[in-house]
Amino acid sequence: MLTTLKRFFSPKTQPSDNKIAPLTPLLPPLLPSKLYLPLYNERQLYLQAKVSISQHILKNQIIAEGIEPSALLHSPVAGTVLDIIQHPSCSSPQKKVQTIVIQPSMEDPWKDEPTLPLNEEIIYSQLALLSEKKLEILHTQLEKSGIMGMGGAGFSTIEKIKISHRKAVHTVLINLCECEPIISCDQGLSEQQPEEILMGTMSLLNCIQAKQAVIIIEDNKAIAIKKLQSYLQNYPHITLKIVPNIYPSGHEKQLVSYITNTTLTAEEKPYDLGYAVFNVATCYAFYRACHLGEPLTQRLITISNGEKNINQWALIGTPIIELLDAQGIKYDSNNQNLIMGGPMNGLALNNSHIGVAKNTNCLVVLPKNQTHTSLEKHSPCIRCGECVAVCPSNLLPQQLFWYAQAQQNEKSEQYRLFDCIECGNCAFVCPSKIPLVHYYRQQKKDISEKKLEQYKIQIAKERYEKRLIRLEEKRQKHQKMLEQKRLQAQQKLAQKNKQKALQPTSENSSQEAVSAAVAKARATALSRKNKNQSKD
Amino acid sequence: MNLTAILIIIFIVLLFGIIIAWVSKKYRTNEDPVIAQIDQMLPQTQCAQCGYPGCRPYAEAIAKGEANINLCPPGGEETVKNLAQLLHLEIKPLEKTQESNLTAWIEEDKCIGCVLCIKACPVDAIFGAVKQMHTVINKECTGCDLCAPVCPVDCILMLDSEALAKKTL
Repeated sequence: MLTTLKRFFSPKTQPSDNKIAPLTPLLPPLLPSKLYLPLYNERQLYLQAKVSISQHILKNQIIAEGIEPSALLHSPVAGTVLDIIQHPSCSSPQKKVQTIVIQPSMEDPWKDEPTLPLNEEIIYSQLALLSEKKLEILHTQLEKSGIMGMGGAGFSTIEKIKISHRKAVHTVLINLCECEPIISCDQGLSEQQPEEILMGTMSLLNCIQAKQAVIIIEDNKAIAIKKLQSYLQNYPHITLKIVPNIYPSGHEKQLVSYITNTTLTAEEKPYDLGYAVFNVATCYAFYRACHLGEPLTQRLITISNGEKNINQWALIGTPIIELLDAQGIKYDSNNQNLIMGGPMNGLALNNSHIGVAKNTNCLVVLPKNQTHTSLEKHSPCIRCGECVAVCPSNLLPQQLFWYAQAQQNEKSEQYRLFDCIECGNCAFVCPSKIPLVHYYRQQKKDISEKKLEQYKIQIAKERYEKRLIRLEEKRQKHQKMLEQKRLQAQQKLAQKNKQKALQPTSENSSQEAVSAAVAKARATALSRKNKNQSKD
Repeated sequence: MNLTAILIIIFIVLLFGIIIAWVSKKYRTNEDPVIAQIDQMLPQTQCAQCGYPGCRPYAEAIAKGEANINLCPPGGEETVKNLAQLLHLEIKPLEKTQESNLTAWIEEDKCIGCVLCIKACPVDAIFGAVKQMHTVINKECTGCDLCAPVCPVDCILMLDSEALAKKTL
């Protein structure tokens, strides 16, 4: 019953057949007039520019780097750095951050730098046994590619590979389930580049030293399944698993539960069970890095206005408005919402000149009345329980809403708020139109902040107490030293007094000596006198 | 029969009495548990703005009823609220407020290496040596502002997180 319910459940913003017509050619990357590359990445890290204003740069040249070695930004085109300005970005639409503006060169915008070194060990279609040292070199080389998770979360892929290797992951799961309705870029990619995806998967396997890979695909992607299957015979370590098209199967935890039949809790990560999940677009980017030596500078994006869905290659940093214009999609900021990500839990942008980021998988323009984002206007919760039926994590959304409103953080945690994957099902079925996910996000943020604060308080307290102990020790040591000095002084004084007590005798002796000397002198003087007298 | 029953009961009572007496002697804590609870609620910046040398002495003063609960500017109204709840007191407005989440930042080219700020820091978050440039360990700084007044060359700034991010860029 639940499954059927979920299965027939489809967002109202979603057209009856949301997937693109099969095999429409993917459009080549659009060359925009300007590119906006923010110095602030998807993981809230500030980057440092490696180029200066009016400098000429080549395609694939590193233009910024961060504290994490893999947080690199490469120029998608050859051209000139126009300026470094304050501009909103995909990761911080409300706040302006430093952004590099690049103007593509007129003559040869694709003139590129020498590419990354090719890694022959991992480009075969067979598993390769690599030594730890070799792997470390490989990982360091691949850090230069700047690949990050392209499904949306934006976690550094190389970092994930390293962790997976450390945790002895045995199975790599390739996510070919779209994370939201409307989005079809992963499907488009797998229809167009099936072999490249399989090659990328093999490289991933070899980098992690895992044993097998499973591509998890939804059953409505018939062409992609057929295409992948035709190549699979050459890849004995990769299998295909077809799952029903139920929103939200694209989530990491949902995927793992398809394979293992167990549900992961908020604290558990797929590594703990020996799995690592990679998005298919990440896989393709990995293929380009390993086999062609290209860093990540472009990605496939679904562009939609609710009726028309197009998959388009876009250079990282292309302003959103140029992508929309190229597809003839009109955007009017007064009556329409521009959403990055899917319609269910995407992020509303208020500026269409933002450059697309590495994890921007979809851009949707929807009329304002079709999106549920108003916080004030919703009706009260009637506790109908619709949301309970559709929650993929088996939570009690109406109860969580209650606690979120009352800010009862402990209760919320008891009701497993952190297991919520923010899929938006509950908000979608809610008859009172309550933006539930918004409340959950807010509360999660509050709780995390409070925990961080508590942790900081604890650390500060420990440091303060340690300092007090240290100062006390120092004081005691000082006192001990003073005491010792005093003792020494006393001893010296005592010795002196002792000597003084002995001195009278020595004084006598000296007096005797003096008188003896005087007597002697007198005696000699007398004898001399006598001599002189006898001479006379 | 009655006598044995009475004797048994007297024996049991005595036994329990001895056990209780022994336990209370053995596990006696000299400290008021409320102090630890109050201390836990304070922000541990050790800024001494309350007039006490640190958070713990302030907690002790509150527990004794000597100090008001609204003297902690870094804790803000949140702390006052929590304390009021714990001690069943009325919520009072803060005596003085302070911008929270500040971090000290040393302008390193101006620093003369006098170590005065190192001595002032209650959480050992400043690193340096005599006639060597000093620097603040951002992660450990509580923003208590005790180091800024002692600096003879005024090279210590108190920054909010945004300004700090720009500085460390």
